[in-house]
Amino acid sequence: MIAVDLTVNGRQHTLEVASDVFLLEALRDQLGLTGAKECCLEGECGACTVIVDGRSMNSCLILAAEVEGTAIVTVEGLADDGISNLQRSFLDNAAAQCGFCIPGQLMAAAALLQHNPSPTRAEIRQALAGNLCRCAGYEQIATSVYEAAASMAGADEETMR
Amino acid sequence: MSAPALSEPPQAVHYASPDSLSKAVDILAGDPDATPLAGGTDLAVAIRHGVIHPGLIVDLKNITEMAPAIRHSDGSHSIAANTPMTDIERDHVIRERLPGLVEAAEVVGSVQIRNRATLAGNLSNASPAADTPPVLMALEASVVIVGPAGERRLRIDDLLTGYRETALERGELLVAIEIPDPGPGAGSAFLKLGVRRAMEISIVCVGARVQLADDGAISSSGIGLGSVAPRTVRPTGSEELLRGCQPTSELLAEAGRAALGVCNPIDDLRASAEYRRAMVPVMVERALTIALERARATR
Amino acid sequence: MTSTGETTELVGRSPHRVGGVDRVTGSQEYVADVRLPDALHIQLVTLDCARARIISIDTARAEEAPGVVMVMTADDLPQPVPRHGPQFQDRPVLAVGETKYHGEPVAAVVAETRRAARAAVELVTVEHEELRGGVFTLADALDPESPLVQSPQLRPDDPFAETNILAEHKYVWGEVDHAEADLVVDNTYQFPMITQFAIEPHGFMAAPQDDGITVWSSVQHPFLLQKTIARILGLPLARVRVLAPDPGGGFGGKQNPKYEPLVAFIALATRRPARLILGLGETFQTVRRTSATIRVRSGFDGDGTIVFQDFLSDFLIGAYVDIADRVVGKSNYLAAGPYRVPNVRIVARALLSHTTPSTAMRGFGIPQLSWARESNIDEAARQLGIDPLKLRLRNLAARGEEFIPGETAADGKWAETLEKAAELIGWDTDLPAGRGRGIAVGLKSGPTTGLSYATVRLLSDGSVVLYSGTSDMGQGARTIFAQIAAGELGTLVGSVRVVMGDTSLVPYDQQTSASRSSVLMGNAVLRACRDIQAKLRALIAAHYDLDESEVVVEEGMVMLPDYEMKITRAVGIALGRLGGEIIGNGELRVEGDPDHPLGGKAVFYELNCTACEVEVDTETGEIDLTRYVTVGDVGRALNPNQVTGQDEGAAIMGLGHTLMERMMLDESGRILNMGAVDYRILTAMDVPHQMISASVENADGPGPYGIKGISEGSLLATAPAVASAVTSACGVVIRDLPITPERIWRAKREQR
Repeated sequence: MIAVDLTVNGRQHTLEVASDVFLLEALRDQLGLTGAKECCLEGECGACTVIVDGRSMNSCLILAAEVEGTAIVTVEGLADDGISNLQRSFLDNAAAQCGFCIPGQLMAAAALLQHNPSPTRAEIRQALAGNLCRCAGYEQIATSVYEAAASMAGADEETMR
Repeated sequence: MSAPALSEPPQAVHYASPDSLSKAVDILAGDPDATPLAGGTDLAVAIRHGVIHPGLIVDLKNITEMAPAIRHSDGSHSIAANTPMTDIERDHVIRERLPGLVEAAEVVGSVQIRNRATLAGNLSNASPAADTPPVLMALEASVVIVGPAGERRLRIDDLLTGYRETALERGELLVAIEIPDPGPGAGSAFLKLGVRRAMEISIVCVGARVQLADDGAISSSGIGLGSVAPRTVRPTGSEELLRGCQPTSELLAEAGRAALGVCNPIDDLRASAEYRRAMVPVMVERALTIALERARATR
Repeated sequence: MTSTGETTELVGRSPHRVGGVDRVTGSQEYVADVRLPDALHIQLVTLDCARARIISIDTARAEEAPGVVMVMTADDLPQPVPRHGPQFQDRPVLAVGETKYHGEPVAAVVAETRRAARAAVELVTVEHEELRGGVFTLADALDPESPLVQSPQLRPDDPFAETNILAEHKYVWGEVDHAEADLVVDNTYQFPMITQFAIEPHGFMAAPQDDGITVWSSVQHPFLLQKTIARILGLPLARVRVLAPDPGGGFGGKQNPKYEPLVAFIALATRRPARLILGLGETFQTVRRTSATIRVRSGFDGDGTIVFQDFLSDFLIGAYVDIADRVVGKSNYLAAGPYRVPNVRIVARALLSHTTPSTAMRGFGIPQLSWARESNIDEAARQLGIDPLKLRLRNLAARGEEFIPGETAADGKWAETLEKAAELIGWDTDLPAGRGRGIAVGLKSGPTTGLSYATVRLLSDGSVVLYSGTSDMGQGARTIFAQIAAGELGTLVGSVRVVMGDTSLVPYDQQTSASRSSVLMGNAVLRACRDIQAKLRALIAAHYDLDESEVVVEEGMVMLPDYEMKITRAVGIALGRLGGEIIGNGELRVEGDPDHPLGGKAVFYELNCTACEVEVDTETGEIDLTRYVTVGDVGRALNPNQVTGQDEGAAIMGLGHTLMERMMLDESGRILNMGAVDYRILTAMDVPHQMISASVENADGPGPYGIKGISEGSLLATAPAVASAVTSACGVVIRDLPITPERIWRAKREQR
């Protein structure tokens, strides 16, 4: 067993894990953060997406040991309080159907907006291509991200005035 | 009558995260059960599926000498082994000078994969269907290798020796990829044919480079082909055919047809060998055409 | 006094999804997220081939492995090994003596951790002999030399017992053989094996209780599961509690019990809770859509009038029947689609094979038939030189027309749907070279029987608790029911709690399938609300010393002769000093008709028209979907955002089987592409460049306020619409799905 120090959703944790335990299982089974979902376990579906040091990644493909010293955000940590603009936009556009892929979609979208605050629809589709949705709410999801970006840009302008 | 072979449960796995190249080389050279871990996007799947049972996972991400970095010097671009694909996509100089490489990096898996996967990993894996080796081959890239015997360099053509086989010896690590700057009058391109527009393993993929002389003739070219042979292949016959000629669409088409000489595709779940063979000339011609347009634009 | 919902603010609006906040914060608990202390983990043991004789199973080494509690085999189960299934009780809890498909479990390892269970699977030695000559294709199934998939003893009086034909369904009207046509078009079409691919793989848990058992499952039909478990374990229904957390996608693949009986036996044997969470690959070995080969022979008059249609449909079902025979029988009944066809003959066979048991999947057999019929009509249009839209409109049944003898008449102005789709795609406008347009129509019947109960409690402050046995697997049933209750009882959706997914709390519902819930359960909810309104009316009349006829309660309001107030206020007055609540019950029963070939007439139809525009790369065969239109005849869109989501979602799922999806088997019946790497579904990048979803709303459905079910329509006609557009773009005709670049390239090459 090895000890892994990391920050998850702003809180420091030390995980005691075997060397071949993956981040997804560590988050779900040890920290009780079940927002990241388990589906394909081979980096194809994106349901397990979390943000590691500012970048979206498939937590099913990362050993827990590899994230020593990193800061991780899961869907549970997406909003400091209540829900974020992005999450609200998903609700406004009925983007969550069964909802199982949605935490992954949200994390991929949040990471996109961090480095590209005003993406085009094409950029959104590209950024979310690694998140499969079988309800296939792709259009409503893309609209949600697009509108969230627009509303955040609007809010920024408000603040600057 | 058959019974599955008895297999022992996987042994406990150990994990090491050396911070220097020399330590990593020592560990890998000394332990035949040790497996290097870069971005891990392929290794993790192999571990999960039980395809490999490494006794020791050697995480390369904390090795100072391999830390993510893209350096541009006169006439060359150097990409450190741990640089994720995303960084390559976002690098302005690479975008301007090596558009073919960006096009290949952009279609490796998803954003999540590209935030993790590296060129070095893509090369070391030596999958014949990998997206970046064809364009790296076309760009005349070479790799810097460090191992127990010191440092050496190999061209991509020499690195990739067979189906999932490389010239890397035990204990050797790929620490950087060096790509000569194509200079003025050069252009590159990458094309991938698949069924899906993202998250796809190619049916055929092609990297191409065209270098024009002052008179507009092709002074040199590079072509790499993926998914058509046990390893990424280079149709040197096509390159020879182009050399010194004024480019015409007929010439590029002929180069495309000539590329079949190095192809030995198979039938698999994604496509038949027959379709692959038919697509090679089409894809090569198209990639050359785009590379040529870009070459003309940079003169 | 019938409410039309017209004045109700909440009908036709799109309030946030009930359960939406939990879905965007990660707090929605799916089965795998439910943690039971002390739970054991199960891993299935399977063989690397489809059909094998099991000689012996040695579990000793696995049972000695660290963390392993037991390895269950068929010998540990009651004998004979219990079997179950929604149509026939044919599926054993674990394979008995032989496996009949790749992935049929022969044993289950039970361990303290998932890792221990996984590791120990490799230590179970199953001595077996692979049996050659397995039945993996339609040709195999029809070959008299092939082995029988199921023992003839299981159906002694069946004339097909000695064949792999499970059943033949024959529907005939008119005189096909004597019909005279100017043109006969005769072609055969293939539809591949598709899997449901819910992003949530199936999850099951069971925990023994002092006097019974609790079972968790991501199941669409919790009450069917309850009945199955009660029967197999010999328990009273009341002692079997099924908890069915909202499934993470169902699409039909979670309708019927699968491994719940196994998990229940393990929980009882170990006296501990046990859980089995499948991996995505394992779901390919659990559920799939029925593949099909369909021959259509149609006769036309020179003006495009359809004279006859003759169908020979062979559907390859799996090793156990599940609900697949119903899929074959029900879908083929509608083979001729929404058209007025005077002479029809449909012969449909359900053929057993050594493959994953096929079950319900969105569309329930209709995508297969629409693919064949609409493509055949398209060929006729080309040969007759008639615009394919006009040809369809010419033959389309008008509202009220009994287009299938004895069946529910056309229940919508269907031509409006086609015309709207044509208008939105720009049917009559010019296209650049290399592009083509296609149009196709799909028709599916809704449920033919049904039984739904709902209970609604109006609390003293006007807020509402609603109980329903529907499963909300993404279609948004909770929201629809909350909207109905909020509208009828005058409160906000946010003040309605919708309780589902617990058979110990909610009243019986037959099932969540066939896009029934908004209509059937919706009506039950509406009736429960009306029951409350009636009770409230009596209480208010008594309170004000009025005659009941002087009080009107509707759409959230109480109207007295000289005064009106909201129900939220009235309820407090009505309940008086003691408070309490008003409880309403609603029941919706569709008895069906035992003499009807399907056991009942369609409660409603789902009609969809899909039109699309594509560009084809004639060198590579790649298709670019430039514009895509889907229009459904929805009655009314109670929640337009959700209607759009279901409509676009079904269309994209349909584009999957149209363009890229298919399960592939090797010569041993092994599934070669068992997972997301080699079985592709569309990504966000594969969606058509322009996607338009629209509805025709004439409030002519049998559900509350005139709604119809809508959740399957837009994948019914996807494939023929795209294929038609491909033909129009590049001249090749594709009759096998999926329409891959390679298939277009081949067809193009053969054309040259």
